[in-house]
Amino acid sequence: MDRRKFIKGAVSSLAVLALSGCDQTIEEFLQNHFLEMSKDDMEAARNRLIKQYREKFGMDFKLGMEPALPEVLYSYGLDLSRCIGCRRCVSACVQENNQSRKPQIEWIRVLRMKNGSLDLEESEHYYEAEMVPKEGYYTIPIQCQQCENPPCVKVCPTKATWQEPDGIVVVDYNWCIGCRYCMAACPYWARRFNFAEPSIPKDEINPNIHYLGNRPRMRGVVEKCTFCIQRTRKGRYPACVEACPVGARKFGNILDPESEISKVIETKRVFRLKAELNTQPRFYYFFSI
Amino acid sequence: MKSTWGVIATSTAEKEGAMIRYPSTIMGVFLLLVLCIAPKGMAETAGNDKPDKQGAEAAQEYSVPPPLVYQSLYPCQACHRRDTRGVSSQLEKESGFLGKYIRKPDPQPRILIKMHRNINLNHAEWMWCLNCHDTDERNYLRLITGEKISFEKSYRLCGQCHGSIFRDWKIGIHGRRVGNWKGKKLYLLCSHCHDPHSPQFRKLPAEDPPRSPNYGRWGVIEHEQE
Ligand code: HEC
Ligand code: HEC
Ligand code: HEC
Ligand code: HEC
Repeated sequence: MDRRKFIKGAVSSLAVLALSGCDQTIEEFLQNHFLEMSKDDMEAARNRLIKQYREKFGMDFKLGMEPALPEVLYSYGLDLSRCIGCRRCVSACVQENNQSRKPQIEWIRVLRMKNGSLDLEESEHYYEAEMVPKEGYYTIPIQCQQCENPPCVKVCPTKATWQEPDGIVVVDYNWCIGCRYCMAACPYWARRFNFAEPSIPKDEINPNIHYLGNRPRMRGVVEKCTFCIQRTRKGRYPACVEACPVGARKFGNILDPESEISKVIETKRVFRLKAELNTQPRFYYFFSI
Repeated sequence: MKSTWGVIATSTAEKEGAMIRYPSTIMGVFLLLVLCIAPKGMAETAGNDKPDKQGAEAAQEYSVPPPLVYQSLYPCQACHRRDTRGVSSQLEKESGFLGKYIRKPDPQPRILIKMHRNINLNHAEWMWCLNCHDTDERNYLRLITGEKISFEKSYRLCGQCHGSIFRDWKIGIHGRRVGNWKGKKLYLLCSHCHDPHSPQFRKLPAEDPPRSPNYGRWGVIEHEQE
């Protein structure tokens, strides 16, 4: 907020200077914080982005800005007794969410651990692409835990990241200044930084995007899992849920007692990662057997 | 199949893993032949029978993607018929091929050699084909109660012996749903993931690991690789 007021006041003298040598446009620089945008602002931002993406990628994007659905609070469950560590979720996520291929960014990280070990620090996530499951090991995929009490949000100096009413923690890439405080604050190693200009082969780009989710990012901003906001706000399952060949991933509205995730919590033993930190993840791990 | 499955078209699971249970080689060829030369009315006979009773337990229905069997040798009754009088000679005249496969049900447990040699029964030891498939109407499965069910409801067959897994499947914990968390969803059948004849879940090749070391454990770049 402060940043905006400050900038508005200083626009005539400073903005032009500040922008020289930078590939932002003035409109972009002056764009309101997403939460404060009016309908018109949103429309303007949408058109500007679509135009910008068309110039950059030579294709038309469908840019959604859907707000949170009423009476919905998302939660996620992951069945550790089924996960085999095949990484199909990782590649589905990369494709769906336009993650940079080079340099490589992957929101989901699959950790492999020795049976009996509980120490995440001793896990391996570069394990080879062999036949899985591999005897003697189990795997834990980790992505943004969408904490109810998110430490990353608290430390952001520009309020570029916040929690939506449906529980999803989002990032406005136009407001992120790339300081990476959030990355240091996240106990789950869930945020990724675009240290170089992201690149994706054109035929692999997903043109169905959401402002707060999988729209193409730029160099110098932080990104992370949004429960596939562009899909879930339209009622669909996240890409990782549909990609999981063993059906270990469960998703739904925790306020609906019939949803899969409510049933998981009702009938299975669930736990959350690093519960002692009181971050209150909306991401539950469980054992179905 | 592809189009009904559009929802997961972005995922690799469709190409590999769960959806490649049937080797698409000879099967497809056979199906094509069977469908091409099967006399008209064959499929309808099956449809008219309406073998599903509307019992209380049967009332609960689940939307499922098309069973894989429909891409395979279906309709089974192209060959398996209660009444074979005249059929085989007529078919043999028409096609010169299928006729010799037309046959009456044979309930005798045995090693199959003339057909279905790819089926390797490796479920419970005592299991035989007709514990699951209906003897007289091969387009259907049969429950222990004698009730005939279509392949879309094969979960009820499995559920008879795997009660707790079936309970978990019904509430979405075992198996997988695709489509919409809010709105229409499809429940994958047990047989989309488990081969009913040899149901142990098969190993899959894992996908490539991340290129190391682009980022370290803490998400901080260790060094740039380029
Ligand atoms: C192309 C013709 C053909 C089709 C189509 C076909 N079968 Fe068969 N089936 C046979 C033949 C021939 C045998 C006998 C094999 C033997 O005795 O060695 C047989 C045997 C069987 C048997 C053993 C019991 C018996 O009656 O002999 C079962 C069970 C069976 N088939 C099930 C099926 C099912 C289920 C389908 C559909 C998914 C199907 N078959 C489709 C030709 C066919
Ligand atoms: C545990 C129950 C069970 C037993 C035992 C069983 N089947 Fe099946 N079979 C099924 C189900 C369920 C399907 C449908 C799978 C699907 O939906 O894709 C099927 C599909 C088939 C098919 C078509 C698809 C394919 O795999 O080619 C054939 C042919 C078949 N069965 C023949 C047999 C024969 C022959 C035997 C005995 C050797 C047998 N089945 C034993 C449950 C069983
Ligand atoms: C008539 C009872 C019966 C029916 C019907 C039945 N099963 Fe089984 N199934 C068993 C028994 C008994 C075992 C245990 C076999 C063993 O341990 O060797 C078993 C084992 C299994 C296993 C574990 C295999 C393993 O080695 O890990 C799976 C998976 C399975 N069944 C799936 C199915 C599916 C899918 C269906 C429906 C197409 C089905 N079953 C129908 C009796 C049944
Ligand atoms: C999304 C795929 C999927 C579907 C759909 C599915 N299963 Fe499974 N099932 C699995 C996996 C994965 C395992 C674990 C196999 C292992 O650990 O070796 C499993 C294990 C089992 C086992 C072995 C016991 C256990 O708990 O490990 C049985 C029995 C079984 N399934 C039956 C069923 C039945 C019955 C249905 C339908 C009502 C069904 N499955 C639907 C994927 C599936």
